[in-house]
Order: sequence, then C-alpha cells, then structure tokens
Amino acid sequence: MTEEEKKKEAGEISRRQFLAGAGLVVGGAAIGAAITYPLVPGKEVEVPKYVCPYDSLEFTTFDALVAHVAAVHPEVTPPTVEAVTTLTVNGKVYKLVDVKPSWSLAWVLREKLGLPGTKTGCNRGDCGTCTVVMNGKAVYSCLVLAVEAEGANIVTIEGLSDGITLTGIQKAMYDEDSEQCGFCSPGFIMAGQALLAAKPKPTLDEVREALSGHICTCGNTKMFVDAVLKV
Amino acid sequence: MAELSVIGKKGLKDPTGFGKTTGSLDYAGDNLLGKKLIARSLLSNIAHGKIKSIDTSKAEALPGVKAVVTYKDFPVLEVPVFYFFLERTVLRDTIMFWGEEVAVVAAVDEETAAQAVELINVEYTPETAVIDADEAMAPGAPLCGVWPESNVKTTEIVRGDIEAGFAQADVTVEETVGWLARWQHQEIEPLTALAYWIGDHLYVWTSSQNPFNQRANVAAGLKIPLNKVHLISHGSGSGHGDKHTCEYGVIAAVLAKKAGMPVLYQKSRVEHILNSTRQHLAKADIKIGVKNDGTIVAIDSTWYGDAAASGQMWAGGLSFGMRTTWKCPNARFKHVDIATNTPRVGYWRCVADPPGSALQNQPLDMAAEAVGMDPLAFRLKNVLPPDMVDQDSKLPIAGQAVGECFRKAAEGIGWATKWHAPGTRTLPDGRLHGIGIGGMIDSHGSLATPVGGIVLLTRDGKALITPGQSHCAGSIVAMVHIVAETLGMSYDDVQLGDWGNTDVAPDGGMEGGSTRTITLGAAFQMAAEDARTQAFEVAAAMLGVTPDKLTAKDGKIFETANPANSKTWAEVAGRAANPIVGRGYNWSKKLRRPLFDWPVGAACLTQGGEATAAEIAVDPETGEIEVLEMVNAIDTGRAVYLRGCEKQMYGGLEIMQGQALLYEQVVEKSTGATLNPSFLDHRMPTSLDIHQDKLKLAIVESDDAVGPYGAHGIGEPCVNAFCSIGAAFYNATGKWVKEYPITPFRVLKTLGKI
Repeated sequence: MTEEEKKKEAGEISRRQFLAGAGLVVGGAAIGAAITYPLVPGKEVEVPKYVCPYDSLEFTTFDALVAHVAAVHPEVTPPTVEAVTTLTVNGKVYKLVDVKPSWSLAWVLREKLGLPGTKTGCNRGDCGTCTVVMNGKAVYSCLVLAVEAEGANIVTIEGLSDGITLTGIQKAMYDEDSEQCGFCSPGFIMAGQALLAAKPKPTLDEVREALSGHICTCGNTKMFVDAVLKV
Repeated sequence: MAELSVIGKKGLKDPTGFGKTTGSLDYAGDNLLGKKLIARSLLSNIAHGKIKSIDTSKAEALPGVKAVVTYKDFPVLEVPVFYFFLERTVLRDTIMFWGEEVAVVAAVDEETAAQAVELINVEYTPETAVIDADEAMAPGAPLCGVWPESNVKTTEIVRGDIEAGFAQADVTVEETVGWLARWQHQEIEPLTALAYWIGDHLYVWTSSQNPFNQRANVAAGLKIPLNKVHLISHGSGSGHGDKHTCEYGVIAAVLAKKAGMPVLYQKSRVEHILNSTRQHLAKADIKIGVKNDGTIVAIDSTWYGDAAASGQMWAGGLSFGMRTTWKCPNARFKHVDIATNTPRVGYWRCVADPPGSALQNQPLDMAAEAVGMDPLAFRLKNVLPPDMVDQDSKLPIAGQAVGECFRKAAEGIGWATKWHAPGTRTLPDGRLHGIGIGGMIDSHGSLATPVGGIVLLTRDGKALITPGQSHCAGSIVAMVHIVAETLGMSYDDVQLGDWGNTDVAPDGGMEGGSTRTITLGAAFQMAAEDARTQAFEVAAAMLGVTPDKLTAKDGKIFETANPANSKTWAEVAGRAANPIVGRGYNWSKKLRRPLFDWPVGAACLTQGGEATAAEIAVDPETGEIEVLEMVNAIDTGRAVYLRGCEKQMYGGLEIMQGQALLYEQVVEKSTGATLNPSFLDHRMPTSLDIHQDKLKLAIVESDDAVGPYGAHGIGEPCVNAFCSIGAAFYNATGKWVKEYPITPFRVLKTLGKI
C-alpha cells in the first residue's frame, strides 16, 4: 500500500489533494486543523461549485454561472468575480455568488449549500444546535457570518460519515440507541467530535464541559455524555 | 407476565436512529432547501386592546418581501368538532396578551423579513390589562376580556362528609403552597410549518405531535376539505404539548398563496415562546386531617390555576394527584380558574399534574411530620392499593402500581440509611444534606380519539407500517415492537415506511397525554392480528390444517401441535393470491383480562403512576442547590420499547431538575411583557448541571389490563415528581420553599440570609 492509499484508508486526505481541489482557497488556513478532512475513507475532494444565488443551481465554472444568470434571471445584474465567496465544507469547495454580509454560516450551509444536517434551534447562540467544526474548533454556525468563514476548514454532520458507515460518536450513539427526537444531535455530536480530536480520551468532567453549550429539551444530555466517553 | 419475543427486549433500536445520528432524518424546515421564503412576525407591544389601524405598505414595498398578512386575511373560524383546536385561531384584531402575533411577513431571507416587520405601522386602542392572577380574582377587578362576566370560574368535587372527617382527626395541618412558576415551552425545534400549493391542494410539512389534528386545523383555517391538505411530519424536534395545533400552518399557507412560493414559518425563539402555550401558574390552600396512626381522614382544598389569555381551565387537573392517590373518605376539592392577559397556557408535558404533584407534596410531608412519621411511611400507609377502585368515579384502575413506585424510588436512593430528621445533617464541606420523595397516580395514559393502523405484508414475508404520527420521542418505535411481536417476526423484519404522512395512514392520534403507545399500539396490535389471520388462511391450505390450529412465531407459521409442520412468512406471503393488508383500531377502555375481582369487559380507567426520590446538597451561603442523586421510578406497565422507556425516564430526571431549580417565565406586572423569552434567561439544564452518572431508574412493570401487551404510557409520568427536590430542601434545611423554582435567591430568602 502506498503512503497515499494508507492515508485514504485512515480517512485522511493528502495536502496535495486538498490544495488541488481547493482552488482559490488559501490552503494553509485549512491545513493542520485538529479535525482532518475527510473523515470518510476514500472520499475525494470534488471540483468547486458555483452556486446561483437565485435558484441554487450549481455550475462548475464561473462563466457558466454568469451565462445562467443572464439567461434565466435577466432582471438582476450578473455577478462579478469579486462577489464570489469560497467556502470549504466537508472537503468540498463551494463558490457562492452574492452572499449577503448578513447571512449566517448556518443559513448558507442549509439553504444555499443544501446541507440540512446542521439544525437551527434558536438562531441566536443560546442552544448549540447549529454547531459545526471550523478549523478544529466547535462553533455556533448561527453566530458566524458566512463571509467570515472564507478560507476556513468547515466540517458539518454530513462530513462525519459516508451515509453508510458510522464511526466515532455517531457509531456510539447509534449502537446504544441514544437519541430521543434527534434534533439537537448534530450539534452535540460535532462538539463532541471537536473535543475528541483535541483529546482522544477525555474525562467525564471534560466531556461535560465540552457539551455544556448545548441544550437538549428532551433531557438527553446523559446519553450524549455517555456516547462521547464510549468512543 | 409471560415472556415475550420482541416486546421489552434489550438491544432493539429505534429504526430512525441512523437518520437522527447523521442529521439526515428530515424535520419540517429541512425540505425545499433554497426554494422557500422565510416568515417573521410582528408581536403586539400591549397586553390588551384592539387594533385600530394597521399599515403594511412600507413593509410590502421593501425589496425581497413577497407577502404580508394581517387579521384581514383570515376568516372567522368554525371549530371542527371532531378535533381539538386549542387556541384562539390565527390572527385577529383583538389583542389579549403582550407579544401576540399581529402580522406576518414572508421574504427572501430572515433579515429581510425582520426588517419588513419593523416597517409595519400599527395603532392600538388599549384596554386595561389584567396581569396578576391574585388581582384578577379580587372583587371589583377589571375584566381581562377572556370570559364575558368574570375573570374567575369555579368547580368543585366533594366526597363524604368534610366536617365529620376533620372531627375524627387527631391532627390537622393547613398550608398554602404557590404560586408555582410559569414554564415556557422551549422545544429545541420551534413551531414550524413549511407550506406550498399545487393548484388548490396544499402541501405542509410540520413539526408535530399530532399530524391529523394539525391537518384538520389547517383545513378549517382555510375552509378547504381535508383531502386537499397533505400534511407530512417525519422528524419533530421535541414535542412537549404545543405541537398538536397548527395556526401557524394556516398563516404559512396564506403567505404561500399570496407569494406564489413555498413559505417556511419556523418561529423565532421569541415568537415561539410568546405564541405557544406554557405551563400555568398554580397555587393551592390545603388542609389535611390525620389520625395519630397516620391515616388521612379528611382533605379540604382549593386549587388555583392561571387560565391566562387562552381561558383554559386546568385547576381541576391540579387536584388530580391528591384526589386519586390517597385513600380519604371525606374530601373537598375546589377549583378556581383565573383568566388574565398573559400568554396562553396549555399542555406542557401535561398541564396540571406536575404542579399538582408539587402543591400536594408539602402538606403531605407536614402531615407526616405532625404524627411523627417519615414521609415515605406516611405515603405507603395512605396510598391507594391496586385492587381499590378510583374513589370518585368508582371505576377500577387497569393496573396501577404507584405504591411500588414509592418503594422502588426509596430503595434506589437508599432512603432507609439516608433519611434524617429535617435540618440535622451537614456535609463535610459545610453544605446541608437532604433527601426527599414525591409521586402520585398520574392522570395520563387514557385511550383517546379514534385512531387506526395498517400493516402491509410484503411479498417476501416482511411487514411495513406507516403510522400516522411523527417521530417525537419514540412511541413510533413501540409500534414496530408490537407488530413484530404479534406477527411472530423478528424485530428487523418490520420496518417503518413514510410515517407521519396524512395521505397514507389512518389517523394516528396524538403523541400526548401519554396515550400513543397504548392507543395507537392497540390499533397496531389489532392490525397485525388481522394481517396474521389473513396469512393463516393462506398457510392453512399449505399446511393442511385449519387456521385455528396455527401459531406465528420466530419468523414462521406452524401447526401449534406439530411445529415441524411449518412455512416461513416468505413462503406464505409469496403464495397469497391477494395483498395482505391488516387493519386495526384502538379498542375501548374496558378490562381485557380479569383483574382482582373485576371481570373482563368491566369499564375502567387507564392511568400511570410514578415516584421520584432526590438527594441534594444546599449551600447556605450561596443558595445553590446541587442534585447529588435522583431516582425515577415509573409504572410503565409492560415496557414495550425498553430503551425508549429508559431514555424518557433519564430525560425526565434532567427535566425535573429544570422544573425544580430553573424554569420561570417572568412577566412584568405593569406591562404584561415577558422579560426572559430565551434559552439564556429561561435556562435549561445543561451537561454541567446534571450528574449524568448519578441518575437512576426503576422500571416498575405493572401489567395493565387494557394497554396492548399490558403497556402504560409514560411520557408525562416521568417528569411529574420534581417536588422531591423541594422535599429534599426541607429535609436539608428544616424550612419549606413555597415557591418554585428554588433559585438561589429564594433559598437565601427562605434561610433568612437576605
């Protein structure tokens, strides 16, 4: 097995692959984060996507997007290259046009990138439901502006598995049937995953501390704490 | 109880677990990504009055705004009699509380909608607002406008002879407890409806405890037939009582029609808190007469409940636990409901049981102390035994084990060694140690509303069910258990299909009142039996016997007397000439097996029961309370989905700590404004508040004589007895805190420190 294949096997991605895919993104900011992406073996970085702000259709080149806007949305001014915001999420690089400065990362992840695993429970930084991992740290994506997240390495709940195989906290939770309604789970899991990346064998108190920014209205915090300790 | 193959077995998982863990189970707002408008609302800044004028033109002119609605867009509604429509409906020109929805805007994103809301100009004609419940019931108080003639309504339940009862008593204690706080509805997923139209058909995704009632609400609100409303709810982010109705679905639908686009009305935290329902204020004056041996001989009591702006009367529910749980031949329960101009009240993991449990607990402890008994012994002496009828209705209770719950809770906490005389034990760190217990027969777990279930057999001999319910807590998983057990299939051979979709299922009823597992579970048991009967017809021909000679178990259908003569489900299903479809309905509230002296078929009650014990440390300097250990003992009947029971019970222990120590909606008396409409200020327990390793459970399996396979509902019983923490506070300090939550401020005030 080559070094490259071993890394793939381990669920890591090489620096070269990452930079190749990242395009305009400043690669250095994303490398060296505590959580390496992707966590799923064999997952490749895909080509950048330019997303139409008016109907969320995706295009592989900026020119194609401009042509689409001119043809389908004649009432608006076609975007300029300065208006492109680049987000690196789960190893994919997304090029978005006309991202409003007021849009939160949570909103863009859900409504513009089509990643609804990140839930919003309060949209004001009180509940922790929308937590994603940004450059290795758990953050409330409702309190991060999308434009602030440019250049960062963002991992959402969708980035933790390939949709077939579960690992880490997800596996621990699934194996133990740990959830009630499940709405707050992605936030708890991402916070726990960030903790485990920094400290693979945390103590009970460290887990309680790491999950303390989260609310579960079903009263399920015991289950989350147990799951993180079991990994 | 007989051993079963699937029901109550360890290790059987929620089939939706993968979706929840990966974030791929869809909740209402997860649909139509990037294609929907966002709605935000204008809330009233007066507590009582009328809208004089409303101008939305500036809001409508803002770029990005696609539709605005006010009361003018909604017809006066007729209430569908076959479903409950809890609240005043949709938008109206009368304002009954501060923060009531006045207008709603749909725009391209939340910021634009919020900006547009600011541009709406409303003029009100204010009227006198009645905020304080004590003032509202005082003679000569101005009317709050909820009821035409008075702010107060009273009812009464009497049994025996009160005076004669108290005359027999050796000791009488009398106490007022309350007010207990309002608790905000803080489900993690706010009230949500996503609506769009295809022609005159409406499609709605909601967060739901009750998809069929929501569909009825939406259809009534729009005056369209039920079969033109297609309502779907797969995932629901918690449901504690305010997700049965769907006024906001009507609003989203009208906005969507006006805008010609899908509209998501997912309430903001503030909108949600102010415009959902909440646990009401509660208070009681209770007098108990006791003999020296601890026998309760008389109770006289008055129970006060804040009916708020919704005018919902729950004071009668407050007394339920006291009325039902304790043997007492002479008793009076007066109920006073008080309407005010405060945000609407309604279900909150029940409405009245949790506060009712807390209101009775202190006088009971005082009575025990007055005759020199410890609180546990006093309860065990007076608790209604399982073989005794309900004292007011004279009906048997179909399996109740509250006494056993008290014993198990006490055992779990180590009552025998830990209980001490009040205020007599200090921990080495200077904090005061206390232990307490509380519990009662619970008003929940009735068999309610017409519900049905369908079991489809697939050609390969497996089963598919699509219950007409959303996934809130896990009762949907109980359906899978019940069907697998009844068909004699393995658990994995029964799968959930497109559940929570009003187009493909019969009415699944409510995930509330702790009724779902027994009510819909009954329907699914019957549906599975129906499917099994049809399969037996096919199998009988294959096996050369009559259908009555067959058994289904372990994935096979076989001759009962000769198990070797068998066919697999796959062989039988493959041979069936027509598709096998089993249908079932919930059955009536009658005993299905003999119970004590009561025969099969006797009319009865179905109720749960619970007891909780808590051990706490009180810091007399800071007023902080730490819950050191807590035990939840719940009468589950037969535990169907065992892990689900455990999760709800653990959850109950966390929620009870919130009820006892944290939850309080603060309403300003001068304005009626809610001062803390957020998770930050109306705090929930977090991982740092809970000792996850010190939560204990005791599943008490009585065998209910009505519920499917002997099950009870447990959703509400498991959050009821938070009063055990208050009792523990008395045991620690020798002083009662009469108001909840027991905040550091109230602790220090009670201890005379401030």
